Amino acid sequence: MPDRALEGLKVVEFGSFISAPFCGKLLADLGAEVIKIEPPKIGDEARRFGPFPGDVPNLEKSGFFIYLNGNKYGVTLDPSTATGFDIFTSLIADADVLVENQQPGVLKGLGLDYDTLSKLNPRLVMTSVTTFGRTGPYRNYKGYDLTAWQGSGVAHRYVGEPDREPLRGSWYHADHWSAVSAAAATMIALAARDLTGEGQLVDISETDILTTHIMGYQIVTLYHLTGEHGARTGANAPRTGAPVGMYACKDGYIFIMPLELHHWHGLVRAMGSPDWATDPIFDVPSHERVEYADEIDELMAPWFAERTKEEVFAALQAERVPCGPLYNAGDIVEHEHMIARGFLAEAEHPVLGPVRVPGKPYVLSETPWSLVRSAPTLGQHNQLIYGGRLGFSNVDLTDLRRTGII
Amino acid sequence: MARLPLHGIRVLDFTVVWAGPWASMLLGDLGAEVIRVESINRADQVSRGAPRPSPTILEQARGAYYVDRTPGERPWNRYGYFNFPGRSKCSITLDLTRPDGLEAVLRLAAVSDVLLDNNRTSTLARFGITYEAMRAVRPDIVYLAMPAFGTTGPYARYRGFGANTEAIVGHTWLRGYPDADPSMTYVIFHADAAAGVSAAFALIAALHYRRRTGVGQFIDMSQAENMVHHLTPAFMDYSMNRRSQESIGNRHVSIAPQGVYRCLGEDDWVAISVRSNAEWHSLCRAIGQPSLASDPRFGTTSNRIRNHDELDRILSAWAQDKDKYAVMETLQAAGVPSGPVIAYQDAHYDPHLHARGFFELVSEPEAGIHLHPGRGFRFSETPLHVRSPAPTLGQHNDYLYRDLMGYSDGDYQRLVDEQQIGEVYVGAAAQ
Repeated sequence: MPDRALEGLKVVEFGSFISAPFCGKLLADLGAEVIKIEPPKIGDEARRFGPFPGDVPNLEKSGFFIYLNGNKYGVTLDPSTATGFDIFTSLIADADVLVENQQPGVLKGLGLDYDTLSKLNPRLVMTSVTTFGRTGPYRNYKGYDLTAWQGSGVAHRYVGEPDREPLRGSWYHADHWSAVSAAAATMIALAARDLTGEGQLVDISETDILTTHIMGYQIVTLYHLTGEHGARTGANAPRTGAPVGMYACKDGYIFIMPLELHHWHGLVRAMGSPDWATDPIFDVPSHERVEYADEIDELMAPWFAERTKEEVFAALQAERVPCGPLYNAGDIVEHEHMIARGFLAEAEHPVLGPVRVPGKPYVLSETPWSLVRSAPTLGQHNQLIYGGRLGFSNVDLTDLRRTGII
Repeated sequence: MARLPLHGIRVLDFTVVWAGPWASMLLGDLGAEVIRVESINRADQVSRGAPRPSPTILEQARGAYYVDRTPGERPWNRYGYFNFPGRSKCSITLDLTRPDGLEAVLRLAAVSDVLLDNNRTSTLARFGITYEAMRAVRPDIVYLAMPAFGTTGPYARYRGFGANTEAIVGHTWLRGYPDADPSMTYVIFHADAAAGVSAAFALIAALHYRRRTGVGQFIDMSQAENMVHHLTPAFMDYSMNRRSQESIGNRHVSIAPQGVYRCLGEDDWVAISVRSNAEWHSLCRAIGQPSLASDPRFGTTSNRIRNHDELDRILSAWAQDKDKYAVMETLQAAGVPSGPVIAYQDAHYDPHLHARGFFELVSEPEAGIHLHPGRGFRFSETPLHVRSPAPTLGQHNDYLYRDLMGYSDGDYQRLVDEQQIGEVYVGAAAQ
């Protein structure tokens, strides 16, 4: 019996940066064999993006690339050459899945579009991730994480002050969301293939993904239902519940959300049931406590200010109050809870040695997540895949290298 | 009609708020029969709203979740926050505080494939609903639990909403204006839906494994950890360099210019992102300032990053008297990644989304006809549609108790008489 969930699944990844590579990684982490194709010499664009150790750029030392490409085999290939094209199609003939995020038109130009590949391998599931999707008037437009994020409505609605520019999220949300969605959609297409025997094209639009997942609620719940709409209201927005928000502790902040009445009771107990807090005028639903929001904030402030965010966190959670401290990256890399859960993993990289990376967000009891190999160096598995799998001799490989095909 | 990919899969849905219902909505759209298990006693007020909303609620932001701000006779069936992710599901009511409640759950589990739970760890266990108990009646069940911080570790029993998990894994810290204190950042609630998508992926992968081996399993997912991935560059910077990054607004550490610039209109903006020298040269031509392309201040990415303030001034001055869509057309024609900043009323009318068939009309029994967003992925051979509108509370009791579980008329009637089954919350007026 296979010991990993996706063992036996063969995936070819022809993409760069985040969306296709992270999709490939999610599949590889659960046991799929992922062969990552990179352009010869320059490699995946992510190799040129930091962080690098000591800020010294190096194609083999990008922390960003190393994280996104663990558990894969890496080969180099230029499919615009005749031999490169043949090698590409040989890999596809044997694959269950192709994941790609090339700019619009690139695959068609190479003769590697879905129509061609599906004739070669009718069982192929081809998952394509683009900023705007493969249909619609913007299908040939170029985009980037920021344009997808800002094009989804989330920034305009939530992020920033009303009189200033809407802000991006923390790093690359559009790309990561699309990658997870692409991985789910790929598995769905494989489930459909189990029913029909046929593969298909999966079209993922980053803009659609964010519009659905983040803004879907707002679009439906407000605009469609009442015709009302709104924009970001900023940090000093009118409040709909109290106390809710960011509170200053001795060494930082904690975000608390005691939405239900029993949460408020828990908060009061955690603060030692001071006289002011037990006043019946506050013993009402959160939205009615708004009337006294400023007063409550002022009365609560000293209790928070005298304690560290960890102390407040533990005290409130002991009373079942939903809350979380405001952490930075360092807090997370050294986080005791995530270490205790085994979330943080060590990648043994051939060039860098051991590096701590984010690990498994889900633990499957019977089919463990595992980091079995670190991200490939550029062309690391050319010999293994082209020699071992496709039968090229050492002389052939030297030739392919010399002519820049691999 | 072709069978949908999750045809024949039955999901027992114990989810609350957003993350869980989002996952089960995706499974429902994909063809699974999702049974939403609802308490007849206590409304999940975040999802279904207050059973009898007060005038204050109706005036506030949350009041807009009711169609036309009008709660009607049964407000819980008119609440958009439920009705959007409630689509493609059935609803059963029961009372877990009585033995009949657990009995019904076990009878449902015996004929189900998946159980989905995003309550705090131990909430369902209090009622006897655990992986072990479900596996006893359905050995190959796939059981996914996704509390805020997972089911193990020091925070296993901690509570958090998406806004709390975002703060804990560093997103709130990195989202803000560079000149503002981190406490002045904004909550965007995206950790919930992100967890929903990941949960759907993990479940479908586990079902893939089960189809091949017959073996089910327990999946322990942490909503907080799920968001760490999105933070890769910041995580790796600390991991390798022991440096904690700060927010840089809309800018990027490795490419320039990148920003959001004001256009003509009250609150209209365009996002521009230039990744290479070639794109920079195209941008210079597109904005009618070709000489900038040879200006040494902007000749390389590092020079453009160094002189970003000046680039922001140039692009702001150029964009300020233009329509945001016109800016996109001009720049896209030159091959420069760009797009309007969409306000959500824009999304509603967006020609691209409509051309892609993104929205679907859904007619709800007590809430009228509304456009729903689709699901972000599109299949060439397995087109997906909203399969049914969100169920009214207890809408499928008859089908589920009698047809699926085989309750006799007498047993069913007893549960109705004892108010364990119904379409109105017991004591709704008091909640």
